[in-house]
Amino acid sequence: MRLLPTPSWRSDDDLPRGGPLDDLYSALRAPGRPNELRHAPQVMERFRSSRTGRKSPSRPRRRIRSAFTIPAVIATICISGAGAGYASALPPAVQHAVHRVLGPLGVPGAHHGHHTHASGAGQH
Amino acid sequence: LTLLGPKGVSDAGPLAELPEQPDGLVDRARRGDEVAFAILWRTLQPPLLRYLHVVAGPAADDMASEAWSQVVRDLHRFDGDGLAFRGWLFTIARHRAIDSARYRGRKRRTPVGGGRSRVMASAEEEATTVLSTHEALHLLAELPARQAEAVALRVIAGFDTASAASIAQTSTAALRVNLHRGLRCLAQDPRLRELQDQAQ
Repeated sequence: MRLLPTPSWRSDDDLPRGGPLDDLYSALRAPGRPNELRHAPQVMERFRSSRTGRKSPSRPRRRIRSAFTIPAVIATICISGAGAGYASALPPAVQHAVHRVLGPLGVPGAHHGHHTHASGAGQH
Repeated sequence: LTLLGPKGVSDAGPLAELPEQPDGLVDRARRGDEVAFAILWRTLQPPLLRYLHVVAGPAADDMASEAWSQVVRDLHRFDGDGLAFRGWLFTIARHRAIDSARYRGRKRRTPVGGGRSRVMASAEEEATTVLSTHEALHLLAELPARQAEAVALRVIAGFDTASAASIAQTSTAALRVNLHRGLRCLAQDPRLRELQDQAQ
């Protein structure tokens, strides 16, 4: 949430004064009129219902759901990538990268079909 | 809540009603305190509505209502003091006004006097002041948009130049130039001088 630089409550230092401007400032800053405050009941009702809605159990559930979603997505991507690596179904550059990480576990290199015993990266 | 009753409107001006330490009010409102939220609303609604009349014309009422709805919805996530709250509210309102203007495909805001403005001058106000709020907003809304917004943010909303520039998404220097040009135009406006002469 973007916060503003902290201002003084009202800083009038650089406002020109005198003549008709003083009357203008007074008019623009006149007390709130009943007409301007007539939506108070609706706003307060919204505030009340918002507070009531927040106490419902839906929010914690949503938080728990989001806490599990991200690790689950990451795990899915890792398992799928490893599986595809074992099957040599990845593009050569990706296969090479996966081989560098999971080579000791048996993931073949990018050119596995051409080289029968590639034990490490850069070995041809 | 009696705080919100029309009779409770203070004569000290809309901004003068906010306590010296509004941070406590925001904290209390965030925790669900209705009275604290009511005070914040009652204090900030008039300047917000007037600002929106300048930048959004007759749609001001709807824009203000939408801005408060968003504030109510996201208040529990808001992290800042009372002054930051005020900036947050006006920033939301400004975005709403921009979205609305884009939606309607308007190139320029409609002046306050062009629609059915709801900031109507009461008979009491007319009798006791040189210039009514309605007339002042009408004059202000006739300025070029950037000048009008600069004056509205500085004079109506009471922000300092840096905060007003941040809300208007412009530089401090540009806002200051627009502010002074706008105020110079208003000071030279013959209608404003005429109203002042009538009152004397």
